[in-house]
Amino acid sequence: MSTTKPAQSARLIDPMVLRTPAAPRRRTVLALLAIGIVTIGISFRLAAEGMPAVLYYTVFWVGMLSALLPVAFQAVAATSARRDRLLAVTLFAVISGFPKFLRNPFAPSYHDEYAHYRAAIDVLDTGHLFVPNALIPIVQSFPGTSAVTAVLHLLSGLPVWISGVTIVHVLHAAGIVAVFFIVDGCLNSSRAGAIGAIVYAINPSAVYFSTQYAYESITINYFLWILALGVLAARTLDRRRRYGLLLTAIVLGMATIVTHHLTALFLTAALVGLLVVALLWPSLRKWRTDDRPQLNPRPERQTWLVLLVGFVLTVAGWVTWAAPATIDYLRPYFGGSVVELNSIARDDGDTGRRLLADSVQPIWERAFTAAAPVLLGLIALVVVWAIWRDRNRWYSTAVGLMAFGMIYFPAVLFILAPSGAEGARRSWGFTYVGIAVIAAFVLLRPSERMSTRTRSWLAGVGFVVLLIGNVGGGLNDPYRFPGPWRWGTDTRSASAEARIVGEALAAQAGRVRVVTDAYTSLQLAAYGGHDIAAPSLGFPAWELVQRDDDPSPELAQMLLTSQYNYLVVDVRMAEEAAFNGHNFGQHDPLLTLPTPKENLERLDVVPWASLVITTEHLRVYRLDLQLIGQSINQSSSNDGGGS
Amino acid sequence: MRGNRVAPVAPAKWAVYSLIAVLISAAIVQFVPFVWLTAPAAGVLVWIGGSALASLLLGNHQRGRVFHGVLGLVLGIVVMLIVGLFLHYSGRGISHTEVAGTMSFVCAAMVLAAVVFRREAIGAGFLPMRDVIAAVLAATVLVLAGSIAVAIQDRPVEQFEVLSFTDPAVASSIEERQVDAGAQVFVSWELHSFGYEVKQVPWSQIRLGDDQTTKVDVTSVPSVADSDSGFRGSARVRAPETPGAARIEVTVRFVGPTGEPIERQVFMAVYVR
Repeated sequence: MSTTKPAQSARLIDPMVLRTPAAPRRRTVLALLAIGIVTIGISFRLAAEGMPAVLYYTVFWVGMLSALLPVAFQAVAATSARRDRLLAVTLFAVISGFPKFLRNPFAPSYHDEYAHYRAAIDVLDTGHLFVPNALIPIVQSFPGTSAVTAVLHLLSGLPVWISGVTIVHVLHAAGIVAVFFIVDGCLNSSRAGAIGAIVYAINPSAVYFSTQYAYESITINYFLWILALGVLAARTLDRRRRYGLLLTAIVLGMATIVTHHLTALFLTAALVGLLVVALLWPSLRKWRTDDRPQLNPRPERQTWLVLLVGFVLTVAGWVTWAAPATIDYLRPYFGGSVVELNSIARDDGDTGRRLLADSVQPIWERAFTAAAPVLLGLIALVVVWAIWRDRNRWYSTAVGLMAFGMIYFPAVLFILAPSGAEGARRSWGFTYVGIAVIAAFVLLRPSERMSTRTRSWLAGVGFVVLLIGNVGGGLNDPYRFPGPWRWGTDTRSASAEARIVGEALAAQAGRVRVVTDAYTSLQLAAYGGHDIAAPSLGFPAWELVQRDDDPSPELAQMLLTSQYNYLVVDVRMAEEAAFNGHNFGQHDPLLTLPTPKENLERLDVVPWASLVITTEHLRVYRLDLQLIGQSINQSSSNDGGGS
Repeated sequence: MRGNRVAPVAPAKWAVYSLIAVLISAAIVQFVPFVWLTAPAAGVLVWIGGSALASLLLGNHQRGRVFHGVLGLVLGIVVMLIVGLFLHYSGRGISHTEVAGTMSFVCAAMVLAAVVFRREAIGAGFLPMRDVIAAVLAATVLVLAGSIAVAIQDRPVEQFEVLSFTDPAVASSIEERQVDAGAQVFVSWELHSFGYEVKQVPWSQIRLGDDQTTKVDVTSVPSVADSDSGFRGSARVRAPETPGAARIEVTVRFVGPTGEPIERQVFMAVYVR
């Protein structure tokens, strides 16, 4: 294969400058990772038993570090061969997916997981894609996840959930291997590739968020492979090989837009950035390309231009033809979050979110969470200075990826804005590929000011800070750990009781339209296939339980005409305020408050609600809202006691 | 060329191996009902399909066999997506027979196409035996450790019960729930317990207007899945003479998991003509 000579970037980095202990023996690595995985399982058991947070967090990190550190050493050790690094990176990638797998191995638990699980079930039931989705309506237009899950389920005979999780975890490992090739391609060193892959594998989204069963968990790895293929193509002088790599990347781009909208946006942004840098960067160099043909910018420009045009055409085609609702779906997130950030900057009161507020995380994990972006910021400053100083020796692709990584820092600010928090969280998995290049460069950059010993210690400490800090900053405690039942979380409010009620209602009345809270809705939609009302200011379905009076005639009319014939209530919403602060979304009139018990009790006496299914905690009411204002002839005497 | 320097596999040899693997895997996923056989076969089919696509698009393993093998896995998942889209848009529908048949055909076709259009040597992800052994060993350790970690988390199942109307709860409109004044109305209920077995339903009551029925006929519902068991009851009650909305109430008392009595109640509006 024709690639540029390594001599140019060999002067930028020195793979031997980082001293690490000798690579541990393979059997030692396997023994420690087995112990680590079992220890993580123990931490989850302790969390589920309601033990003190500091205990299960400590046990968790003991398990994580004992599983990951030896493999990381093997990947980055100076004495490791390239193949051993690659296998170690693959193993590291597989292990980094274990906490999420162990979190809920047999059923969905995260919000998006319920939606995609239901979508896969519906595809299998109907035999066709593009099925409506009650929890995330836009999933209907992006059937890639449910398609591959259904196909693997039908091929393998594995349960639907296991099929989906298998795809996500295989791609998770493959994506981190792609980062190896990206950084290796940029810095021309397998050691740099291994460092970059490991830094990427501990990004804030990697361990939990990007390993959930959801569409972005699949496409983020397509994104990484597209970049890997692009980096290889950009550095290939053989035109035929370059076209092969670009064609493969475009095939992956097509799979991306069929599967996830936001990944398509991030990929477009990355490709635009890489193309702009490829166009502008050579003009900053002091030499002509004739002098150094191996740094000819033409392949880089051609690569990113072809990829960008090919991908944008694909996206435009899909959005126009199959997913026209995408733009309306995404628009509020961008506009809303910018306005909210502006409000936060002007200190407009309660617009923003409080990071780590009411967190049970140990103080040391919170400290690492706060330190991680600061540490990366310092590294980034070093890189900006170093790149500018040595700008004659840099490939524009490497500079472009680093510039893309810099987006991580402003994106951190968006975590403060309610509308921007989800987007910010989702951006980390993408921008961190640039951070991976930056980190590998900084660790292997020759410097006379720092001894190899100091550099090695700093690298080790930095790894631990980033690992713990990033995981701590990724998702909150109920998402990361199992625990006792807790009202008002997507994960810990789930119960077999709600699942069975959803199935019982479907068995009795079929798949019906239901008004319920934000937490019970997940199980009703996933297991019963019910269509859940999405309350909003224009459709305040919460009035059925969040006020002490009959719903307004306007709402009653909307519910009637839309055939929302059932109301499902979990009486525990009256016992404590929701952990997330709301029972019916961000516009809930009783934010941060429990629902008054009287509001729920009056449902047993109003004529427009019939209690058709009951359990210890859940009530299913059949609604006849045209009876508002009427009365029952004989009210219940409750001779036999209440429910 | 960079990457591990293992001699590439000759195209003819690779094609024969791959086609045999595709045919065997296709037969297994199509006809064998045991998941412990079909799951690995599906994995082989997907991987060979993806590797063949990688070979077709890229030619020789450009960055070593690990690169080609892992890219083959990613493209194998893309092949599954293409098969799903094809079955949807062709109107054939996504079913076991269609998926197994189409996937097998596509994978075999891509193996042949890779050989025909890429006459150069093909890596296709074949790893040296020492790497295969290392991978199998690591996978075994991961599976064992993961199984233990899952088993450690195993906790007692939740105990709860579901009381529901079976009739006329299915009535979806007010019209279907209208009854004549004084007429006999058939009412039944069903109680399922989960996580424990209901031994006894000593008392239940169904009311409609002034008519009250107690000690209704109760029969056991056979256990169907998990620890699901329960009881079913039914009775005829007389509707009120007064037209308007009335309420059927069912109250059931039964013995809970620790022997304590529990009561649950359901009710529904009916409309007396």
